[in-house]
Amino acid sequence: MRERSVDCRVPLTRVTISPGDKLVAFLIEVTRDRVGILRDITDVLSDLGLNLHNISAYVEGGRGAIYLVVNISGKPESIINDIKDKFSSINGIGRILYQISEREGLLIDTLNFPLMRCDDRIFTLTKESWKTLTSDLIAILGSEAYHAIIYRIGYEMGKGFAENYVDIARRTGIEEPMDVIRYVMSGMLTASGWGRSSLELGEDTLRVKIEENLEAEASPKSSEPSCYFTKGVITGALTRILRSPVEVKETKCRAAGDEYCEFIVRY
Amino acid sequence: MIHGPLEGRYFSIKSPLLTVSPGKDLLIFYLEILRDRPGILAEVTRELSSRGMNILSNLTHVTEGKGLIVIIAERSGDADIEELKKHLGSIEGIGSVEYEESRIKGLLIPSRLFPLVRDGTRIVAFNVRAIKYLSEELSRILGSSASGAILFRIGYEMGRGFAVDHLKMAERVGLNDPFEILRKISAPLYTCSGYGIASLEEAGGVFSLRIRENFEAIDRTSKEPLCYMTKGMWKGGLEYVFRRSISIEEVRCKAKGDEYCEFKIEIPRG
Repeated sequence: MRERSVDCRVPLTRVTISPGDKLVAFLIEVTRDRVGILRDITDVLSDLGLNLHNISAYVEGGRGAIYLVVNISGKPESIINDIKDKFSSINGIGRILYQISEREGLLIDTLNFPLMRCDDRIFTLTKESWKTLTSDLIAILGSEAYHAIIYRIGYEMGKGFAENYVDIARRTGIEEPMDVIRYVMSGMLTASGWGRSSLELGEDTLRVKIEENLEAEASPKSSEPSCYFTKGVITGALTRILRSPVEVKETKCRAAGDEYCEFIVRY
Repeated sequence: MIHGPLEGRYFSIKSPLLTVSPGKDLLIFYLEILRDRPGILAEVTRELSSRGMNILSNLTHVTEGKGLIVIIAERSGDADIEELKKHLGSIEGIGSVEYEESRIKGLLIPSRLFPLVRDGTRIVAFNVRAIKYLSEELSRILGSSASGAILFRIGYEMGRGFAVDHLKMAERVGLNDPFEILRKISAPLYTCSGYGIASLEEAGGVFSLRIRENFEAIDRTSKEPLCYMTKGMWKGGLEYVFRRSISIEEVRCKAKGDEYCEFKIEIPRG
């Protein structure tokens, strides 16, 4: 029997929707991690007869944070201070912040700011936002001008992304440009949520395969490859990493009915 | 509303999307939690520690008793990873277990943490520095006013896209009033999405939108306010939500040396 794969969708940002419920989020600093600290936290809530909606814990080098959302419907507001006091008395816990839902049933996390990926600050965009951005720009500019502009934006952003890739590579002792592409750039396209990316290096060509490419999935059906932003990002990033111009052609596209997007790079 | 000290509140839940730890052989484990119970994480970490594996970080997320444990660890020389995987899978409450090894020493970019989501919606993450490079390059090529106009337009369309999401969210929780949507959804989501810490105040029909640590002003200097994209985002979003033309002006900017970025917004009565 084939083993079921793990669902690895971890929320990068947190929005809790539970219509009608009064929600409170706590962000708890862990100053000294120890066995049983999470159990102590959840015990506080069960002793008070409260329902835990969700909990995330992050620990690195014995320090970290616990974020949890609890449903306090039907309880007096004073219970928040009771929870806070009980959390404070737990061994290994430091500062405690909390956020009360301003609208019943909706809690948008503003405690976990800034969003970080390793040492870099990041921001996010939803697939729907991207879809509206592109469809509105096409309606205003026409598709030809849109393609040229979105390619240019992708190109400049790709150069910016590459500065980050080169920096990560330098910190881990990678110097060869091809190794930066192989070990950093490909993974980072996936880690950005843009698409599952893989590379095949040839003698003077590079094949970049992107599954579930966000740009293609947010684009209208097309008779030809239409991922101009992605093409721009790849071109800009490779131009910066290789320090010489490259030629990139999208040969397959999910928006055009292919299984995945494919870019052939000549360098 | 946040309760607690704002200063120095940089402890947060981090994403394990990238680990840089020079010289170390890294591994990432993904453990499915089928039935959460007290002590499950302790049992998991004990299995790794008993094999001499140093845990660099772990992220656990549980909703309604089900969830995921992600552990990034340093491989010890003699640990049998397949044997460890079997043991981890036999822990009560744990389902499937998977792992990935770093392809190069000291660098782990997991391929399994995909797609990125927020409330079930797919999202994409950008490094804030990409915006700096984008606007500096556009400015160099086109000049600062053409660059500002393009960034404003992009922001405007992004803002309309955000507003589509905001209205859907508002509908799910029964919010109809545009001002309430602005206060309770648009401003907190701006922060939640990593753009900046947004807060709104109103005086005599004029809104003051303050944004601390705004993504567009970070690491930049200018004589004039330069958050063109941000201005476009809020104008586009507000016009979509309010269904009328609004005016917005940036009056303070962190890039100009102000403590925060501030926008004056006038929303004509409908």
